[in-house]
Amino acid sequence: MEQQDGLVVCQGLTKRYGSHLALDGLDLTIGRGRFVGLLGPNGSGKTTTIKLMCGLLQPTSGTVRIDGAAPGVHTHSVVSYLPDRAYLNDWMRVTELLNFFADFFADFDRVKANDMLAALAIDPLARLKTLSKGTKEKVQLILTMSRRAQLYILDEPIAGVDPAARDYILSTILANYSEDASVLLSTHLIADIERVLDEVIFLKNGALVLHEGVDTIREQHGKSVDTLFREVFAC
Amino acid sequence: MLKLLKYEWKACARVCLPLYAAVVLLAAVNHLTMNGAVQEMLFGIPTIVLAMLYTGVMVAVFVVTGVILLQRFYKNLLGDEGYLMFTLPVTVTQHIWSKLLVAVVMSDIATLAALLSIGILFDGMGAMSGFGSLLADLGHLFTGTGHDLLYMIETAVFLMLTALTGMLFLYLCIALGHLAKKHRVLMAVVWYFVLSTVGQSLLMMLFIGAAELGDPVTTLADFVRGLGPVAGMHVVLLGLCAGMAAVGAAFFAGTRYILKNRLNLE
Repeated sequence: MEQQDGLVVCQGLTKRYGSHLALDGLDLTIGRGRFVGLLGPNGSGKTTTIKLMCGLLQPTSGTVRIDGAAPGVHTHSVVSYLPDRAYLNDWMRVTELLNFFADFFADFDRVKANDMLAALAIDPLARLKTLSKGTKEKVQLILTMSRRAQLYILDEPIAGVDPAARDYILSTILANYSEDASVLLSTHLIADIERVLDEVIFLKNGALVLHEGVDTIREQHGKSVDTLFREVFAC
Repeated sequence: MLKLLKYEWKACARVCLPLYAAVVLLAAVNHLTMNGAVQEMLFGIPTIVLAMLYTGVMVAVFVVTGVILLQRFYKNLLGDEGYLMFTLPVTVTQHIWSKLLVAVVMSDIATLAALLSIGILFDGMGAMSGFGSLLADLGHLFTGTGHDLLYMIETAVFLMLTALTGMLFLYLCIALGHLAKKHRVLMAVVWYFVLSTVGQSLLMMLFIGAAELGDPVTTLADFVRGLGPVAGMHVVLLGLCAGMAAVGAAFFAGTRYILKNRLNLE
Protein backbone atom coordinates (compact mmCIF):
# COMPACT_ATOMS: atom_id res chain seq x y z
CA MET A 1 0.00 0.00 0.00
CA GLU A 2 2.98 2.35 -0.44
CA GLN A 3 1.94 5.69 -1.80
CA GLN A 4 3.93 8.64 -3.04
CA ASP A 5 3.60 11.92 -1.18
CA GLY A 6 2.35 10.20 1.97
CA LEU A 7 0.71 12.39 4.58
CA VAL A 8 2.02 10.01 7.22
CA VAL A 9 5.26 8.10 6.68
CA CYS A 10 6.64 5.74 9.33
CA GLN A 11 9.98 4.05 8.73
CA GLY A 12 11.24 1.31 11.00
CA LEU A 13 9.22 2.86 13.82
CA THR A 14 10.08 1.04 17.03
CA LYS A 15 9.11 1.67 20.63
CA ARG A 16 10.46 -0.33 23.52
CA TYR A 17 9.37 0.08 27.15
CA GLY A 18 12.19 -1.52 29.11
CA SER A 19 12.22 -5.13 27.91
CA HIS A 20 8.77 -4.91 26.35
CA LEU A 21 8.68 -4.28 22.61
CA ALA A 22 5.47 -2.28 22.03
CA LEU A 23 6.08 -1.48 18.37
CA ASP A 24 8.45 -3.41 16.16
CA GLY A 25 9.87 -1.67 13.06
CA LEU A 26 6.62 -0.32 11.64
CA ASP A 27 6.85 0.75 7.99
CA LEU A 28 3.70 2.56 6.98
CA THR A 29 2.50 5.21 4.53
CA ILE A 30 -0.91 6.83 4.66
CA GLY A 31 -1.95 9.05 1.76
CA ARG A 32 -4.20 12.07 1.67
CA GLY A 33 -7.98 11.83 1.53
CA ARG A 34 -8.14 8.37 3.11
CA PHE A 35 -10.28 7.02 5.93
CA VAL A 36 -8.07 4.48 7.63
CA GLY A 37 -8.94 2.05 10.38
CA LEU A 38 -6.10 1.16 12.76
CA LEU A 39 -7.22 -2.18 14.05
CA GLY A 40 -5.90 -4.71 16.47
CA PRO A 41 -6.62 -6.35 19.80
CA ASN A 42 -5.69 -4.73 23.11
CA GLY A 43 -1.94 -4.36 23.50
CA SER A 44 -1.26 -4.62 19.76
CA GLY A 45 0.45 -1.19 19.61
CA LYS A 46 -2.39 1.01 18.32
CA THR A 47 -2.17 3.69 21.01
CA THR A 48 1.63 3.57 20.98
CA THR A 49 1.59 4.22 17.22
CA ILE A 50 -0.82 7.11 17.68
CA LYS A 51 1.16 8.62 20.55
CA LEU A 52 4.33 8.46 18.46
CA MET A 53 2.55 10.25 15.61
CA CYS A 54 1.34 12.93 18.03
CA GLY A 55 4.76 13.45 19.61
CA LEU A 56 3.52 12.22 22.99
CA LEU A 57 6.19 9.52 22.88
CA GLN A 58 9.64 9.48 21.32
CA PRO A 59 10.56 6.41 19.26
CA THR A 60 13.32 4.07 20.43
CA SER A 61 14.38 3.92 16.78
CA GLY A 62 12.96 4.73 13.36
CA THR A 63 11.10 7.83 12.25
CA VAL A 64 7.61 9.16 11.78
CA ARG A 65 6.88 12.15 9.54
CA ILE A 66 3.57 13.89 9.05
CA ASP A 67 3.18 16.39 6.23
CA GLY A 68 6.94 16.09 5.79
CA ALA A 69 7.90 16.98 9.36
CA ALA A 70 8.78 15.09 12.51
CA PRO A 71 6.16 15.49 15.29
CA GLY A 72 6.47 19.03 16.65
CA VAL A 73 4.95 22.47 16.38
CA HIS A 74 4.16 22.10 12.64
CA THR A 75 2.56 18.68 12.86
CA HIS A 76 0.52 19.76 15.90
CA SER A 77 -0.92 22.56 13.80
CA VAL A 78 -2.10 20.16 11.07
CA VAL A 79 -3.10 17.13 13.17
CA SER A 80 -6.35 17.10 15.11
CA TYR A 81 -6.06 14.46 17.81
CA LEU A 82 -8.75 12.89 19.95
CA PRO A 83 -7.24 10.72 22.72
CA ASP A 84 -8.98 7.77 24.32
CA ARG A 85 -9.65 9.64 27.57
CA ALA A 86 -11.09 12.86 29.02
CA TYR A 87 -8.33 15.39 28.41
CA LEU A 88 -10.10 18.71 28.94
CA ASN A 89 -9.92 20.60 32.21
CA ASP A 90 -13.37 20.50 33.73
CA TRP A 91 -13.50 23.96 35.32
CA MET A 92 -13.93 25.71 31.97
CA ARG A 93 -17.25 26.40 30.31
CA VAL A 94 -17.81 24.83 26.88
CA THR A 95 -17.60 28.24 25.24
CA GLU A 96 -14.28 28.91 27.02
CA LEU A 97 -12.96 25.66 25.58
CA LEU A 98 -14.01 26.89 22.14
CA ASN A 99 -12.02 30.09 22.82
CA PHE A 100 -9.06 27.98 23.91
CA PHE A 101 -9.09 25.95 20.69
CA ALA A 102 -9.61 29.09 18.58
CA ASP A 103 -6.64 30.72 20.32
CA PHE A 104 -4.24 27.88 19.69
CA PHE A 105 -5.44 26.34 16.42
CA ALA A 106 -5.64 28.68 13.45
CA ASP A 107 -7.75 26.09 11.61
CA PHE A 108 -10.48 25.96 14.28
CA ASP A 109 -13.92 26.72 12.84
CA ARG A 110 -16.02 28.22 15.64
CA VAL A 111 -19.19 28.41 13.52
CA LYS A 112 -19.00 24.72 12.80
CA ALA A 113 -18.41 23.98 16.49
CA ASN A 114 -21.40 26.06 17.56
CA ASP A 115 -23.59 24.36 14.95
CA MET A 116 -22.63 20.94 16.25
CA LEU A 117 -23.20 22.01 19.88
CA ALA A 118 -26.66 23.25 18.91
CA ALA A 119 -27.43 20.04 17.00
CA LEU A 120 -26.62 18.01 20.11
CA ALA A 121 -28.39 20.47 22.45
CA ILE A 122 -25.23 21.09 24.49
CA ASP A 123 -25.35 24.35 26.43
CA PRO A 124 -22.24 26.39 25.53
CA LEU A 125 -22.35 28.07 28.93
CA ALA A 126 -22.28 24.80 30.85
CA ARG A 127 -19.15 24.00 32.81
CA LEU A 128 -17.59 20.75 31.70
CA LYS A 129 -17.76 19.24 35.19
CA THR A 130 -21.56 19.52 35.14
CA LEU A 131 -21.85 17.44 31.97
CA SER A 132 -22.30 13.67 31.82
CA LYS A 133 -19.43 11.45 30.67
CA GLY A 134 -21.08 10.88 27.29
CA THR A 135 -21.70 14.60 26.74
CA LYS A 136 -18.09 15.38 27.62
CA GLU A 137 -16.98 12.88 24.98
CA LYS A 138 -19.24 14.60 22.46
CA VAL A 139 -17.72 18.00 23.34
CA GLN A 140 -14.24 16.55 22.79
CA LEU A 141 -15.30 15.12 19.45
CA ILE A 142 -16.87 18.43 18.40
CA LEU A 143 -13.69 20.32 19.27
CA THR A 144 -11.56 17.81 17.37
CA MET A 145 -13.76 17.72 14.28
CA SER A 146 -14.26 21.50 14.15
CA ARG A 147 -10.68 21.94 13.03
CA ARG A 148 -9.86 22.04 9.33
CA ALA A 149 -6.92 19.73 9.88
CA GLN A 150 -4.98 17.65 7.37
CA LEU A 151 -5.02 14.58 9.56
CA TYR A 152 -7.54 13.54 12.22
CA ILE A 153 -6.22 10.94 14.63
CA LEU A 154 -9.06 9.46 16.66
CA ASP A 155 -8.20 6.94 19.34
CA GLU A 156 -11.20 4.77 20.23
CA PRO A 157 -13.76 7.53 19.64
CA ILE A 158 -16.74 5.19 19.78
CA ALA A 159 -15.70 2.77 22.49
CA GLY A 160 -17.54 4.31 25.41
CA VAL A 161 -20.80 5.48 23.86
CA ASP A 162 -24.14 3.87 23.10
CA PRO A 163 -24.96 2.63 19.55
CA ALA A 164 -27.16 5.66 18.76
CA ALA A 165 -24.41 8.07 19.73
CA ARG A 166 -21.96 5.89 17.78
CA ASP A 167 -23.93 6.52 14.58
CA TYR A 168 -23.98 10.24 15.29
CA ILE A 169 -20.25 10.30 15.95
CA LEU A 170 -19.46 8.45 12.73
CA SER A 171 -21.68 10.71 10.67
CA THR A 172 -20.09 13.75 12.40
CA ILE A 173 -16.64 12.49 11.49
CA LEU A 174 -17.66 11.76 7.90
CA ALA A 175 -19.37 15.11 7.47
CA ASN A 176 -16.55 17.15 8.88
CA TYR A 177 -13.33 16.19 7.21
CA SER A 178 -12.38 17.67 3.92
CA GLU A 179 -11.53 15.63 0.82
CA ASP A 180 -7.78 16.03 1.00
CA ALA A 181 -7.63 15.32 4.72
CA SER A 182 -7.23 11.84 6.14
CA VAL A 183 -8.72 10.16 9.17
CA LEU A 184 -6.86 7.54 11.17
CA LEU A 185 -9.27 5.88 13.55
CA SER A 186 -8.32 3.19 16.03
CA THR A 187 -10.93 0.82 17.36
CA HIS A 188 -11.73 -2.80 17.99
CA LEU A 189 -15.41 -2.29 17.12
CA ILE A 190 -14.85 -3.05 13.46
CA ALA A 191 -18.37 -3.88 12.35
CA ASP A 192 -19.52 -0.39 13.32
CA ILE A 193 -17.00 1.44 11.18
CA GLU A 194 -16.42 -0.98 8.31
CA ARG A 195 -18.81 0.83 5.96
CA VAL A 196 -16.86 4.11 6.18
CA LEU A 197 -13.32 2.77 5.80
CA ASP A 198 -11.12 3.13 2.71
CA GLU A 199 -8.29 1.03 4.08
CA VAL A 200 -7.34 -0.91 7.18
CA ILE A 201 -4.15 -1.50 9.12
CA PHE A 202 -3.95 -4.64 11.27
CA LEU A 203 -1.47 -4.56 14.12
CA LYS A 204 -0.53 -7.61 16.16
CA ASN A 205 2.01 -7.67 18.97
CA GLY A 206 3.45 -4.38 17.74
CA ALA A 207 3.97 -5.54 14.16
CA LEU A 208 2.12 -4.72 10.95
CA VAL A 209 0.12 -7.75 9.83
CA LEU A 210 -1.85 -6.21 6.99
CA HIS A 211 -2.37 -2.86 5.26
CA GLU A 212 -4.94 -3.12 2.50
CA GLY A 213 -7.78 -1.25 0.87
CA VAL A 214 -11.16 -2.42 2.10
CA ASP A 215 -12.30 -3.12 -1.49
CA THR A 216 -9.21 -5.25 -2.07
CA ILE A 217 -9.98 -7.29 1.03
CA ARG A 218 -13.51 -7.91 -0.14
CA GLU A 219 -12.38 -8.80 -3.68
CA GLN A 220 -9.30 -10.88 -2.90
CA HIS A 221 -10.34 -12.49 0.36
CA GLY A 222 -14.05 -12.53 -0.40
CA LYS A 223 -14.92 -11.54 3.14
CA SER A 224 -15.65 -8.53 5.29
CA VAL A 225 -12.98 -6.75 7.30
CA ASP A 226 -14.70 -7.91 10.48
CA THR A 227 -14.54 -11.57 9.40
CA LEU A 228 -10.92 -11.26 8.28
CA PHE A 229 -10.04 -9.58 11.60
CA ARG A 230 -11.58 -12.43 13.57
CA GLU A 231 -9.57 -14.95 11.50
CA VAL A 232 -6.27 -13.10 11.81
CA PHE A 233 -6.63 -12.46 15.52
CA ALA A 234 -8.32 -15.75 16.48
CA CYS A 235 -7.31 -16.77 19.99
CA MET B 1 3.47 32.17 24.60
CA LEU B 2 1.14 35.03 25.59
CA LYS B 3 -1.86 32.74 25.09
CA LEU B 4 -0.30 30.09 27.30
CA LEU B 5 0.36 32.73 29.94
CA LYS B 6 -3.22 33.96 29.67
CA TYR B 7 -4.74 30.53 30.32
CA GLU B 8 -2.20 29.68 33.00
CA TRP B 9 -2.98 32.93 34.80
CA LYS B 10 -6.73 32.28 34.55
CA ALA B 11 -6.36 28.76 35.93
CA CYS B 12 -4.36 29.92 38.96
CA ALA B 13 -6.08 33.26 39.58
CA ARG B 14 -9.59 31.80 39.75
CA VAL B 15 -8.63 29.95 42.96
CA CYS B 16 -5.85 32.09 44.41
CA LEU B 17 -7.09 35.67 44.01
CA PRO B 18 -10.38 35.20 45.94
CA LEU B 19 -8.32 33.66 48.75
CA TYR B 20 -5.93 36.64 48.81
CA ALA B 21 -8.88 39.03 48.85
CA ALA B 22 -10.40 37.01 51.72
CA VAL B 23 -7.26 37.22 53.87
CA VAL B 24 -7.05 41.01 53.42
CA LEU B 25 -10.78 41.40 54.13
CA LEU B 26 -10.61 39.17 57.22
CA ALA B 27 -7.65 41.19 58.48
CA ALA B 28 -9.74 44.36 58.20
CA VAL B 29 -12.68 42.74 60.04
CA ASN B 30 -10.34 41.40 62.73
CA HIS B 31 -8.80 44.84 63.14
CA LEU B 32 -12.27 46.27 63.83
CA THR B 33 -13.22 43.53 66.30
CA MET B 34 -9.96 43.93 68.21
CA ASN B 35 -10.97 47.23 69.79
CA GLY B 36 -12.36 47.21 73.34
CA ALA B 37 -16.14 47.43 72.95
CA VAL B 38 -16.55 44.84 70.21
CA GLN B 39 -13.98 42.53 71.76
CA GLU B 40 -16.18 41.97 74.84
CA MET B 41 -19.34 41.28 72.86
CA LEU B 42 -20.87 37.81 73.44
CA PHE B 43 -18.03 36.88 75.82
CA GLY B 44 -15.52 37.60 73.06
CA ILE B 45 -16.55 34.51 71.07
CA PRO B 46 -16.98 36.32 67.71
CA THR B 47 -13.53 37.88 68.10
CA ILE B 48 -11.92 34.51 68.79
CA VAL B 49 -13.77 32.85 65.90
CA LEU B 50 -12.75 35.63 63.52
CA ALA B 51 -9.15 35.46 64.69
CA MET B 52 -9.12 31.70 64.13
CA LEU B 53 -10.70 32.16 60.74
CA TYR B 54 -8.06 34.71 59.79
CA THR B 55 -5.27 32.36 60.88
CA GLY B 56 -6.84 29.53 58.91
CA VAL B 57 -7.16 31.60 55.74
CA MET B 58 -3.61 32.91 56.18
CA VAL B 59 -2.29 29.33 56.29
CA ALA B 60 -4.54 28.48 53.34
CA VAL B 61 -3.04 31.33 51.29
CA PHE B 62 0.36 29.65 51.31
CA VAL B 63 -0.76 26.02 51.29
CA VAL B 64 -3.29 26.50 48.49
CA THR B 65 -0.89 28.64 46.43
CA GLY B 66 1.82 25.99 46.77
CA VAL B 67 -0.53 23.12 45.95
CA ILE B 68 -2.13 24.92 42.98
CA LEU B 69 1.20 25.89 41.45
CA LEU B 70 2.62 22.38 41.71
CA GLN B 71 -0.65 20.80 40.66
CA ARG B 72 -0.79 23.04 37.58
CA PHE B 73 2.53 21.62 36.42
CA TYR B 74 1.77 18.02 37.36
CA LYS B 75 -1.87 17.77 36.32
CA ASN B 76 -1.90 20.12 33.35
CA LEU B 77 1.25 18.76 31.73
CA LEU B 78 1.79 15.26 33.08
CA GLY B 79 -1.81 14.22 33.81
CA ASP B 80 -4.58 13.58 31.28
CA GLU B 81 -4.65 17.27 30.33
CA GLY B 82 -1.13 16.73 28.97
CA TYR B 83 -2.75 14.95 25.99
CA LEU B 84 -4.06 18.34 24.92
CA MET B 85 -1.23 20.57 26.13
CA PHE B 86 1.53 18.58 24.40
CA THR B 87 -0.42 18.45 21.13
CA LEU B 88 -0.82 22.24 20.96
CA PRO B 89 1.42 23.92 18.41
CA VAL B 90 3.79 25.31 21.06
CA THR B 91 7.20 24.21 22.28
CA VAL B 92 8.07 22.50 25.55
CA THR B 93 10.22 25.54 26.42
CA GLN B 94 7.15 27.78 26.13
CA HIS B 95 5.15 25.42 28.36
CA ILE B 96 7.77 25.55 31.11
CA TRP B 97 8.18 29.34 30.90
CA SER B 98 4.43 29.97 31.06
CA LYS B 99 4.06 27.81 34.16
CA LEU B 100 7.18 29.27 35.76
CA LEU B 101 6.38 32.95 35.26
CA VAL B 102 2.81 32.65 36.51
CA ALA B 103 4.01 30.60 39.51
CA VAL B 104 6.57 33.22 40.55
CA VAL B 105 4.17 36.14 40.06
CA MET B 106 1.43 34.32 41.99
CA SER B 107 3.82 33.55 44.87
CA ASP B 108 4.77 37.23 44.99
CA ILE B 109 1.11 38.28 45.10
CA ALA B 110 0.48 35.75 47.89
CA THR B 111 3.37 37.21 49.92
CA LEU B 112 2.21 40.78 49.33
CA ALA B 113 -1.38 39.90 50.31
CA ALA B 114 -0.13 38.22 53.50
CA LEU B 115 2.09 41.19 54.44
CA LEU B 116 -0.67 43.66 53.66
CA SER B 117 -3.14 41.69 55.77
CA ILE B 118 -0.74 41.64 58.74
CA GLY B 119 -0.27 45.40 58.36
CA ILE B 120 -4.03 45.97 58.27
CA LEU B 121 -4.58 43.67 61.23
CA PHE B 122 -2.35 45.74 63.48
CA ASP B 123 -2.59 49.16 61.97
CA GLY B 124 -5.89 49.30 60.07
CA MET B 125 -5.87 51.75 57.21
CA GLY B 126 -2.52 53.03 58.49
CA ALA B 127 -1.01 49.97 56.83
CA MET B 128 -2.38 51.13 53.52
CA SER B 129 -0.68 54.49 53.84
CA GLY B 130 2.44 52.78 55.19
CA PHE B 131 2.39 50.54 52.14
CA GLY B 132 1.98 53.64 49.97
CA SER B 133 4.91 55.44 51.59
CA LEU B 134 7.05 52.31 51.19
CA LEU B 135 6.30 52.36 47.48
CA ALA B 136 7.05 56.10 47.41
CA ASP B 137 10.40 55.47 49.14
CA LEU B 138 11.20 52.82 46.56
CA GLY B 139 10.29 55.34 43.88
CA HIS B 140 12.73 57.84 45.39
CA LEU B 141 15.46 55.24 45.28
CA PHE B 142 14.87 54.75 41.58
CA THR B 143 15.03 58.46 40.88
CA GLY B 144 18.30 58.70 42.78
CA THR B 145 21.60 57.57 41.37
CA GLY B 146 24.53 55.81 42.93
CA HIS B 147 25.35 52.40 44.21
CA ASP B 148 22.44 51.98 46.63
CA LEU B 149 20.11 51.74 43.68
CA LEU B 150 22.40 49.31 41.88
CA TYR B 151 22.76 47.14 45.01
CA MET B 152 19.01 47.07 45.32
CA ILE B 153 18.51 46.08 41.70
CA GLU B 154 21.17 43.39 41.96
CA THR B 155 19.60 42.05 45.15
CA ALA B 156 16.15 42.09 43.54
CA VAL B 157 17.51 40.20 40.52
CA PHE B 158 19.14 37.68 42.83
CA LEU B 159 15.90 37.16 44.76
CA MET B 160 13.97 36.79 41.51
CA LEU B 161 16.48 34.25 40.19
CA THR B 162 16.29 32.40 43.51
CA ALA B 163 12.48 32.19 43.22
CA LEU B 164 12.70 30.98 39.60
CA THR B 165 15.37 28.42 40.45
CA GLY B 166 13.42 27.19 43.48
CA MET B 167 10.34 26.61 41.33
CA LEU B 168 12.40 24.97 38.58
CA PHE B 169 13.88 22.62 41.17
CA LEU B 170 10.35 21.47 42.08
CA TYR B 171 9.48 21.08 38.38
CA LEU B 172 12.61 19.00 37.85
CA CYS B 173 11.67 16.73 40.78
CA ILE B 174 8.15 16.25 39.35
CA ALA B 175 9.63 15.53 35.89
CA LEU B 176 12.09 13.02 37.36
CA GLY B 177 9.24 11.37 39.27
CA HIS B 178 7.44 11.03 35.93
CA LEU B 179 10.22 8.74 34.69
CA ALA B 180 9.05 6.05 37.10
CA LYS B 181 6.50 3.53 35.86
CA LYS B 182 4.39 3.70 39.01
CA HIS B 183 3.97 5.92 42.08
CA ARG B 184 5.12 8.98 40.19
CA VAL B 185 4.09 11.52 42.84
CA LEU B 186 5.87 9.52 45.53
CA MET B 187 8.95 9.29 43.32
CA ALA B 188 8.87 13.08 42.82
CA VAL B 189 9.00 13.47 46.63
CA VAL B 190 11.85 10.96 46.82
CA TRP B 191 13.74 12.89 44.13
CA TYR B 192 13.13 16.11 46.07
CA PHE B 193 14.81 14.73 49.19
CA VAL B 194 17.60 13.01 47.25
CA LEU B 195 18.48 16.11 45.21
CA SER B 196 18.16 18.45 48.22
CA THR B 197 20.56 16.27 50.19
CA VAL B 198 22.97 15.95 47.26
CA GLY B 199 22.82 19.73 46.70
CA GLN B 200 23.56 20.51 50.35
CA SER B 201 26.41 18.00 50.42
CA LEU B 202 27.90 19.49 47.26
CA LEU B 203 27.67 22.98 48.72
CA MET B 204 29.36 21.84 51.90
CA MET B 205 32.09 20.08 49.93
CA LEU B 206 32.53 23.23 47.89
CA PHE B 207 33.13 25.31 51.02
CA ILE B 208 35.48 22.75 52.56
CA GLY B 209 37.24 22.32 49.21
CA ALA B 210 37.54 26.09 48.81
CA ALA B 211 39.05 26.41 52.30
CA GLU B 212 41.61 23.72 51.48
CA LEU B 213 42.42 25.09 48.06
CA GLY B 214 44.33 27.89 49.70
CA ASP B 215 46.11 30.00 47.13
CA PRO B 216 43.47 30.34 44.37
CA VAL B 217 40.79 31.28 46.93
CA THR B 218 43.11 33.77 48.63
CA THR B 219 43.93 35.26 45.24
CA LEU B 220 40.21 35.57 44.43
CA ALA B 221 39.46 37.14 47.81
CA ASP B 222 42.39 39.53 47.38
CA PHE B 223 41.12 40.45 43.92
CA VAL B 224 37.64 41.28 45.27
CA ARG B 225 39.17 43.17 48.21
CA GLY B 226 41.43 45.03 45.80
CA LEU B 227 38.40 46.34 43.94
CA GLY B 228 37.39 48.27 47.03
CA PRO B 229 34.20 47.81 49.09
CA VAL B 230 31.87 49.36 46.50
CA ALA B 231 32.98 47.48 43.39
CA GLY B 232 33.69 44.36 45.47
CA MET B 233 30.06 44.26 46.65
CA HIS B 234 28.87 44.52 43.04
CA VAL B 235 31.13 41.65 42.01
CA VAL B 236 29.85 39.49 44.86
CA LEU B 237 26.19 40.24 44.10
CA LEU B 238 26.62 39.71 40.37
CA GLY B 239 28.57 36.53 41.05
CA LEU B 240 25.69 35.24 43.18
CA CYS B 241 23.23 36.13 40.39
CA ALA B 242 25.35 34.31 37.79
CA GLY B 243 25.66 31.25 40.06
CA MET B 244 21.92 31.11 40.72
CA ALA B 245 21.14 31.64 37.02
CA ALA B 246 23.46 28.76 36.10
CA VAL B 247 21.77 26.42 38.61
CA GLY B 248 18.32 27.54 37.37
CA ALA B 249 19.36 26.99 33.74
CA ALA B 250 20.53 23.47 34.60
CA PHE B 251 17.17 22.67 36.27
CA PHE B 252 15.34 24.13 33.26
CA ALA B 253 17.41 22.07 30.81
CA GLY B 254 16.81 18.87 32.81
CA THR B 255 13.05 19.45 32.98
CA ARG B 256 12.88 20.34 29.29
CA TYR B 257 14.85 17.23 28.30
CA ILE B 258 12.52 14.94 30.22
CA LEU B 259 9.31 16.57 28.94
CA LYS B 260 10.59 16.60 25.36
CA ASN B 261 12.31 13.23 25.11
CA ARG B 262 11.07 11.04 27.93
CA LEU B 263 7.41 12.03 28.10
CA ASN B 264 5.21 9.00 28.75
CA LEU B 265 1.69 10.04 29.74
CA GLU B 266 -0.33 7.32 31.41
